[in-house]
Amino acid sequence: MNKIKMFFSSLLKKDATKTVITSLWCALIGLILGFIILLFINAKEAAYGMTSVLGNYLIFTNPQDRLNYFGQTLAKTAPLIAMSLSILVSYKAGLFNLGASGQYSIAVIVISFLGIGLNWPWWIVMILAMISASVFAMISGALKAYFNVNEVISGIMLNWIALYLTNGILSNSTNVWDSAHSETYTISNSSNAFIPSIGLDKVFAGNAIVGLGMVLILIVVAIIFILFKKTTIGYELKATGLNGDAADYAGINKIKNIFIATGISGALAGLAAVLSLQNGFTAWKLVSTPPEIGFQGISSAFLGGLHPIGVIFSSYFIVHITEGGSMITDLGFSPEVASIMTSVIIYLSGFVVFVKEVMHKHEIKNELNKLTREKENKV
Amino acid sequence: MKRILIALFGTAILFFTLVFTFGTLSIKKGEEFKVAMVTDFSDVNDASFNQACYEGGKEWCKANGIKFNYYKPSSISLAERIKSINLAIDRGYDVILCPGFALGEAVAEVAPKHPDVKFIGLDITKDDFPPNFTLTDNITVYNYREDIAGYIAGYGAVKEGFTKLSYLGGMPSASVIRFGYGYVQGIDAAAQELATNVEIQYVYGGQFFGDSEIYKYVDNLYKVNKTEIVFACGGSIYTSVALAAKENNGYMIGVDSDQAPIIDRDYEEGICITSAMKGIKQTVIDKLDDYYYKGKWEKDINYLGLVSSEEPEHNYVQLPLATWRMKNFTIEDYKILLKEIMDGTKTVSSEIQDYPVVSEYTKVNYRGSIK
Amino acid sequence: MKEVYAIEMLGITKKFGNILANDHIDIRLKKGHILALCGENGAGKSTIMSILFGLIEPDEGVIKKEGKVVNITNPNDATRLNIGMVHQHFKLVDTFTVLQNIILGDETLKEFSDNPNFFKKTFNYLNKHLFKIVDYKKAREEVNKIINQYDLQVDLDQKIEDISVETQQKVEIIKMLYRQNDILIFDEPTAVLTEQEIQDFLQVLRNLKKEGKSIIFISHKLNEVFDVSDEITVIRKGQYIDTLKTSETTKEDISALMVGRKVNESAIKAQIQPEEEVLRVEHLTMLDPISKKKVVNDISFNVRKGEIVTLAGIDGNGQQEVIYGITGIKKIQSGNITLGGKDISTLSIREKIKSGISHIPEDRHKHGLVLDYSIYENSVLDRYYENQFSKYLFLNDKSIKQYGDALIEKYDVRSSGDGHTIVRGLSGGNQQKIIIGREIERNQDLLIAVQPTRGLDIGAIEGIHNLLLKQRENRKAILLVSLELDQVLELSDRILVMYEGEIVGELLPQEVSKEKLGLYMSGAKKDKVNAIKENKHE
Repeated sequence: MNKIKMFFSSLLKKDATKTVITSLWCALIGLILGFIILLFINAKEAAYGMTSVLGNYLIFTNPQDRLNYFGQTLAKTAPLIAMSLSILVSYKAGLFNLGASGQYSIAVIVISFLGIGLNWPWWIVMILAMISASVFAMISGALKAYFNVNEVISGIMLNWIALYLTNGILSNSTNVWDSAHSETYTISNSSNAFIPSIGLDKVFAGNAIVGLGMVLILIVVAIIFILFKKTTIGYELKATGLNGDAADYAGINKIKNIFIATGISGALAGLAAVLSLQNGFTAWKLVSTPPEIGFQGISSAFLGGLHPIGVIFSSYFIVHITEGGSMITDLGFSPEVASIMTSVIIYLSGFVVFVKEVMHKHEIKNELNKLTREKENKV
Repeated sequence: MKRILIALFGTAILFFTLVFTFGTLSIKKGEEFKVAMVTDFSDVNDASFNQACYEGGKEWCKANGIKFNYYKPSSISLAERIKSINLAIDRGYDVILCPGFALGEAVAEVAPKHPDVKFIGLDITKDDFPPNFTLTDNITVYNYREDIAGYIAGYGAVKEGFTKLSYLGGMPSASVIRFGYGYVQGIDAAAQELATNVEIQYVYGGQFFGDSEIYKYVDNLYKVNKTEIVFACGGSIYTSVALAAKENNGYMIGVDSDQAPIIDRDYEEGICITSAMKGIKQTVIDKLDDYYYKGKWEKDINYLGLVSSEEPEHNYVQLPLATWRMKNFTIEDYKILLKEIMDGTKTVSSEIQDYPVVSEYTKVNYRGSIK
Repeated sequence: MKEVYAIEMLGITKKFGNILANDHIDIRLKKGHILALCGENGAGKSTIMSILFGLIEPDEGVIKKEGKVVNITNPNDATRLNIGMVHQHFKLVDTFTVLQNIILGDETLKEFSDNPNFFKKTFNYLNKHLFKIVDYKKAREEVNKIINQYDLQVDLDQKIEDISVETQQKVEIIKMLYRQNDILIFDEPTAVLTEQEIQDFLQVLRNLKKEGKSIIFISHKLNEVFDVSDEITVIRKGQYIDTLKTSETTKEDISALMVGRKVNESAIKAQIQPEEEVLRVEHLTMLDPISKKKVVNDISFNVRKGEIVTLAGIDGNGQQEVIYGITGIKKIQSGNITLGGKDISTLSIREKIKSGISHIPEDRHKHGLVLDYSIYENSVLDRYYENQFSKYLFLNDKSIKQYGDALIEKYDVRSSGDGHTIVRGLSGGNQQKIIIGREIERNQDLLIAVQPTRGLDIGAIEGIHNLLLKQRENRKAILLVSLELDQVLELSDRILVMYEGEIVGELLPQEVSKEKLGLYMSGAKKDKVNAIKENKHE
């Protein structure tokens, strides 16, 4: 019994546990604030609205629908995980990949041409999409490495370049572009470029967008985890990120590391595109702003405590409430309210660092109180 | 640390119990008859297609004391549309209004699984359903002879005295194309009768909403091509056209519903001389009434067009009489035109495979799509 | 009669986690006196001063000012009680001028006295609460008065980033005086100053005392302490040890109290004949990347096995750049660097390290350590790629742990946990031990040590000196950069004095006095030097 107690108290003191608890707090505060917003707009339906947000697929009464939309939520989580990892890898190496949206767009071009236009096998399309996104990300990296251009600024600019490139190239390609819908054709499940369902569609009530992608993303999470935990590449990247001067001193090649970090980061952003297009879930539409997922990845990466395993949960959480939030339009809440509320929740979740600080202070105080009490008892 | 943890779980449990208790209490399926609507691209306040459907549904339901609600998919994709429809069904709605061709595939996916729920589609043609799809009994679709609506608008505009005209469609869907080709045919017919040369700039916007790019393009139509009037045919794309018309002292033709009042209010009085209207609101009211009170259900794909030349307001395609602004082309001329179309003196083709055939008086410049 | 104390801190106790930083410490500062607070690094000096200044709240104990109990919970309370503090790292805004920095937070606001009464009142009210227009003229007058009174000459219109560290310190002092503080705390004020500057600073302290200020002076340089203080309070490992009158004690007693045992001030240097050359630098020239000025100008020297060659000089005369040039952190303009007969001038940092350089960098936080890495991870910072520690891109955690544990054991690195502890939480001395251990254990022919004892206390300095001398006995070539004359004289076999990027003197420690060294360092004396010493095989 004592042993169990000891185990728990040692667990509580661990930094990782603190991060988890902090993230949970942030998520909870976000949810409560979201609820308050709903209360202000329509007090009568607020509780039901919040139930929708939290329940997401669970508010369907039909079990088939539940399974189906659980699957859909999972399938939408996968690309966000990839995106969060993209942000995470660059962040650990001391870079901030704000160009993830652009890298995503470039991958979309490759997927559309090879997957929709030429109907190549999915894994070749996937690899090539990741490579091209990776190369595109390295433009930012090269600018940083050779001209010391801030990667945030070049990233944002490249986002727009990529956006217009993608819009321009795709909308002028006849066998890729569905001009009646003003979007690319969707990759259907009979296409070679469709990521196989490996039977998972049957588990999720025939929802074919759930498939091998789920397994792939978990493997990628494991790879990134091992990369930072066990390899010299991860060691170098982290050293560069934490203290560039010390990395220099230790003879770590900064330029090489910038390329590695932006390269991996770009490939992951490309993977995000693969996982949202090659399961037939979305197509590229004519849009006038860079894909939102690149920015959601930032929130998700921070909420996940910048830990590869943490982002699995934070991404799921974000997708879950966004999906749930989109279903409250029939309760007298306009779609805009739904997105305001979910954004509030997501951005509050980004407050992890701040809350951690507060908790830390609280903890010191408690410990001191305990000590003085012990002393008094002795006296 | 422990306290923080306890506080966390405490707050969480309190919060979730509170929300779920009250939340689940208000989920009541109920047995009463309910009508829902799912939007396609734009929202229900697009001053056009979706709004007309929404207003129709809302008006009828209010008058009959029936619950009405609309669902907007969270993003523009098939899966989200299906989800919205599924959600409506799950919440116990009996009739689902599906305005817009984009909902065709979604209806085809959901309808066969829910034979007890009725689907009223608007503006969905056979091509918008998946190939080889046979409509189930619970689907009825109403399409319009947009070609006739376009025809009468174009005919009227030329008769009014315009010779340089433009057409700005939304996305080139079947109905948008029918509008456009009908417009071209109507212009040509009037040009022949008046024996004057007319010029048409014909273009699609690639989207159903206005933005700076569309605005610049339309502004050029007025400035460079000296266009006098633009037929803004596609959802809320009219915003860019109205703005450009206001800047250039030009004119425009609205679409779907009578857009004159809203343009008068938001831009400038008198810009919008007429609108090529589809009786969407009327259709929704009529068909809901038929089904609810008379049990009348016309499954399959139906085309709605002209029914009367003497009382044009009963037609499913028409020009607005309440805000009639044309002087050279009067309501009397309009009734004559309707009569000629109905008795076959004038033929309007709803063919959209090839460009409409025009006489030597008419020059059409097909410009493709802006985006 | 009872003595009047400016400040009394009685029974102050403060605990951080499991570490007792202050355990019932008493400090009594007499009015108009200078109290030196002595103790090794980590003894709790900074903690107790932070408590006095309201940065940290004590767990127990009372603070009295002039006999009355006061409550200090934040720096504003301290300011209200006229307590001022100059921190180890100055709190100045680099881009503001000196004057702006001095008045920052306590601005003299403009008063409108020319206007009619009603407007005057209104304007003054609004200015006080809303506009806050500063009356620079009046502020300047006030500051100038202070400058003249205490003889603290500074140019009020220069920006902080353009003035020297010494002047910045003066600015901090003026800042305290401007706020009319009468209790002044100095946290290791001389750590950043050169010998001459220290003398000037001590004079300032005496002036302040003369004007009736009460001063607490934290230092572990006993020379200064004995020069200027009236009383000395010694604390060790968070415990109060004793308070002694300066006139009644000796340096040896105080250092014994600080360390807890007797300290040998000067280490014994073995007689060693230098052997073959390891490092040879010829005609090295380096430019400042921005101004393109020559920061290192055509210098030549060599280091042989079994000798310690010291680059001495006032900070910023090019010593640091020479080291950067040798280790490759900065690009060299021209010249040759030969290591063990091999030209390494153009190699990358990694290749240079591999060809046989160990480097204890000047700034352990900037270059020496990744503060958020654990002790283990830092212990292999410049050798993780070696076969011993990694294979096929995968780190060998087991051997890193083994190696790290050995390092911790051998160099007595103390932390609150095991080798997984993050280095940021360690004291400066222990951090330095990791670096020194790591570099010595690499066992290279050339050991470069740049200010290896900076900011460390007597006990730790002694240990590091012994380690360096041990390396010399092991026939390593050692290149030392030091700003501290005692250290230079104690350790070196040859002293190369640098002034404005040139070597202006080559001196032998047994033949040179501190004063003469000072003349070379200040540029008053220059020789033409080629500091390459060949071995004469006689």
